[in-house]
Amino acid sequence: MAEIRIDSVRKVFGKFTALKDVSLTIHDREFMVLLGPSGCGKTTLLRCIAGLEYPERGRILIGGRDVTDEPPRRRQIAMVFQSYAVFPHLTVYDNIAFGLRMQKTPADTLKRRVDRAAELMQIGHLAERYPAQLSGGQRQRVAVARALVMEPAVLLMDEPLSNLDALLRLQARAELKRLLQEVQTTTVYVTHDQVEAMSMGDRIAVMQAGEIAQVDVPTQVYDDPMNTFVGGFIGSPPMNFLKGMVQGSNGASAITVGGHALNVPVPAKLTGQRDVLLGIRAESIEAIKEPQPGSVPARVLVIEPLGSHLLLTVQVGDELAKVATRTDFPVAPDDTVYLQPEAGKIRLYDAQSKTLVTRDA
Amino acid sequence: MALPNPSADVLTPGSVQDKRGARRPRRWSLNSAAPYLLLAPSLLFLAVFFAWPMVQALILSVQTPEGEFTTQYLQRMVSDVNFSDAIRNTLLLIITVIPIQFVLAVIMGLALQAKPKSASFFLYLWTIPLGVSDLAAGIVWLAIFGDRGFLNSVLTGLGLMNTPFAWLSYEHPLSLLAAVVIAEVWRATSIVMVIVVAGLQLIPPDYTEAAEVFGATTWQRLWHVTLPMLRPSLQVALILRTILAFQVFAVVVALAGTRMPVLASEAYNWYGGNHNPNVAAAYALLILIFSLVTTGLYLRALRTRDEELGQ
Amino acid sequence: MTTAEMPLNIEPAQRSRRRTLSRIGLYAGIVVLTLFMIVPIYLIAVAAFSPRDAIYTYPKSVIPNQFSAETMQFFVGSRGVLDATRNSVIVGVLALLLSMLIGAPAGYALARFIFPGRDSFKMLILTTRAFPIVILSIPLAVNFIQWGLYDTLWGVALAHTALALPVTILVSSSIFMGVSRELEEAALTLGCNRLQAFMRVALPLALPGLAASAIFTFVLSWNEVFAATILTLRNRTLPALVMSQLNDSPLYFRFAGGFFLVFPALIFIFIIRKYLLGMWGQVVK
Repeated sequence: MAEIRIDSVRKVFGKFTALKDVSLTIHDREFMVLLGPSGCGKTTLLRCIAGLEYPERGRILIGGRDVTDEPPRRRQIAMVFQSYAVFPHLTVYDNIAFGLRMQKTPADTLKRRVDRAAELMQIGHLAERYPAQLSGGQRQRVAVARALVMEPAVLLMDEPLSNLDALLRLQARAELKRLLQEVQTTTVYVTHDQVEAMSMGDRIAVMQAGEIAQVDVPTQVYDDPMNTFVGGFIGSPPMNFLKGMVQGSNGASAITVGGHALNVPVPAKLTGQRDVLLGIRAESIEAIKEPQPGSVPARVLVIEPLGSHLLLTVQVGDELAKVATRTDFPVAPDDTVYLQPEAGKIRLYDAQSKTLVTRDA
Repeated sequence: MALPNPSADVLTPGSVQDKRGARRPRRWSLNSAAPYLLLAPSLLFLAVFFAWPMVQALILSVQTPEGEFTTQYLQRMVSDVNFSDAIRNTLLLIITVIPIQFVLAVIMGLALQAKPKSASFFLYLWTIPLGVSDLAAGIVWLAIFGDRGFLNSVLTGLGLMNTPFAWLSYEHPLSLLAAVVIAEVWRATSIVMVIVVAGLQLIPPDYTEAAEVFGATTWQRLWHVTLPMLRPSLQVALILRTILAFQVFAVVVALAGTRMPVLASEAYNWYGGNHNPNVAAAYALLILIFSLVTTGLYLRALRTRDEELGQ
Repeated sequence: MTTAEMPLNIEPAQRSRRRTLSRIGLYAGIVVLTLFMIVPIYLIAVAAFSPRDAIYTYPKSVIPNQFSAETMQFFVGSRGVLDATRNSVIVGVLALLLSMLIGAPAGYALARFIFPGRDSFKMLILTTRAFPIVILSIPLAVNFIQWGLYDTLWGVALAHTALALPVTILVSSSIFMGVSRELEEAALTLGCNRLQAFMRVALPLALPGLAASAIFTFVLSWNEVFAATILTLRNRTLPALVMSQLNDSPLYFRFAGGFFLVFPALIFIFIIRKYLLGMWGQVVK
């Protein structure tokens, strides 16, 4: 069992609190992605799991065992670093064999496992080369092979794809996902790239300023972000947040945006008058040329033809929003269009706390 | 395990390098002990073989072997017939040698920057004097400036003189000084040059290229972009070089024997020749004071410039 | 002068001619400087390898017409020279080993750890550069007499180590900083403890730089004159020997001695030339 339990972990560097009070459970064989912007603490958390940092408070358990005070080598982990950290003075073979040699694995077993790992990562033919003779992508494979050969209980990866160029990254992402599905090890994967997170994770933990904002499966994080930060971080373009108001209550109320009432049922939870932020994604807004009841007028500022669709930047009141339309939608800058949100896709956020209050339906 | 298991005090990227906060008690001792353990031998060694002798030098110069405080050694030093000559010669050398060296070093550094072919070959040749002891340097130039040395040979061979000129004789103090200056410049310019080259390599070419695009001439680029960016390296090099220059010794003795006393040679003679460690220590102390004073002056002068430049 | 700043009314042919001219000027200057640096060494070699009487002939020819190892042989055979050479080697090796064993760990600590007192220690090391060897030697001589280290090779080695230690610490600190921390961390995740990570990863990668630093220490020790002369009487190192006999010895002795002192330095500087810039850059910082 390689379940990871992080219990109220707090990590401080001098005056800077990297992790405030983080708790998270990662299930056995789960692929958990830690996602967030720079400085949010995701790498610190990963390093705490690895044992390269020791928290001031809290516990870390791997496979039920309290490893909080244990050094990395006693935690049954393997790690792939962002810079790959492939040993320059050793051949590819010796790099991959390094951990096994430290464990004093017998020679024939060692060779078998190293060869197999190298084959798995398609670098078998590079075994006698030195890292300086390899490309970035090849070095990355060495780093992964070196970690996988250890057959660890937990695999930790710190942005392993971010140093690859864009095209390579796409390929490597798919390969890595397939590979890790086969290997079935509990994996914790750190990235700042939300596309990577969505594509690879069984669950995503979105982190912000030393805390976990939301932990959920990718579709949930995408569809039901817990606060405006998560909504704005996930998805490209980020979720739109428009100022709105709920007036009236229970059926006789309406959500208004910029004074225009939306043709959208008000959930029972919302009573009275309050300020809200309407969260809705660009692809969930329909733009139409003629006004309809419940639609909101907007002025088109920028049209970006993205090949598969048009991305419009529109002005609603004094705010900007992104709207996706089909490529042949007849529109020019400065046109007025009317926005109609798709039913069931609006998320309402409290204007003060920025947290999710409810969905619209 | 034989060794305790200190955890790495590693930093995550972007974190603040500050005094660390409180840590879990169990790992505190292991973690914090490691760096101090590693430093301890150096500290100990330097304390015994460096710090303590410094203090002793001070003591030696003002205390008799019996232990009473006295100024007799200082007085002896000051009243010595070579005293004023030693100070004058040392200062003369510093004032002449150091500016020449720095200008030469900058020229050499810039020449290499212009990326001629086989620049690294020339770099090696130019750093050869780095490995030459000051004694050997003195001897080398003795072979050139000596009465029957190569300089006179060449000049005679070219028909420019009939009788050899005694460059190093005490009758020609100016040429003696010039010979010592040349020898010192030859020996020690490489040190400054290496620092200059290292400093030049740190300057991103973007700045000079931008200046070029905006129409600056080579001179302007040099004066307004390259040299200011070289200043930090030059500053420290200047201080170090001056301190070393106050200790000039073997070059002078090799070329000038006793005809040109300097502070270090006086210290040497009082110790070795006259068996008087106390006056020798007094000279050593004088060197130290000179070094500290000039360092202070440098720092002052250079700091004022910083303010003027609005930094 | 670049093409950008040449007046535009110059013909292209003239422009490239000016450029060639300035290039020629550059090479001419380089050649002159090189000659200035190299010719004296050539001359001392000539002086050292000419027959003894040739040293007294005048005028000397710059191109030697006789090559003779006579002077060198005489020098090497002179009383004390071989011993002094041997002593210099021993002292140099001792100083090298001591400063490496004491200084490299301190350099590692400075590179890898953040701890209270780190900056003060660094400051301290830098300020030791400001203190002259001259000051050091005289009280050391007095101390060594008391401790029985006077006129011993160990005594000189210790003095040289004191001289070289600050540089060794600074240089090895920068060498270790050049070895990425993540490499040692990766070793930690692969089953190493701190010491093993150091021995298997950091040390091998730092070795070339450390070796260069060690050679530099050796050269420093080999060349050092003042302390070596003051601290020894009968067990002289080579510079001390030549120094102490300087003004009493015949010319050929001095020339041969000078060459003997210079020659190993040439080789050593050649060996470590790649690291010179890095090392002196560190000293400045």
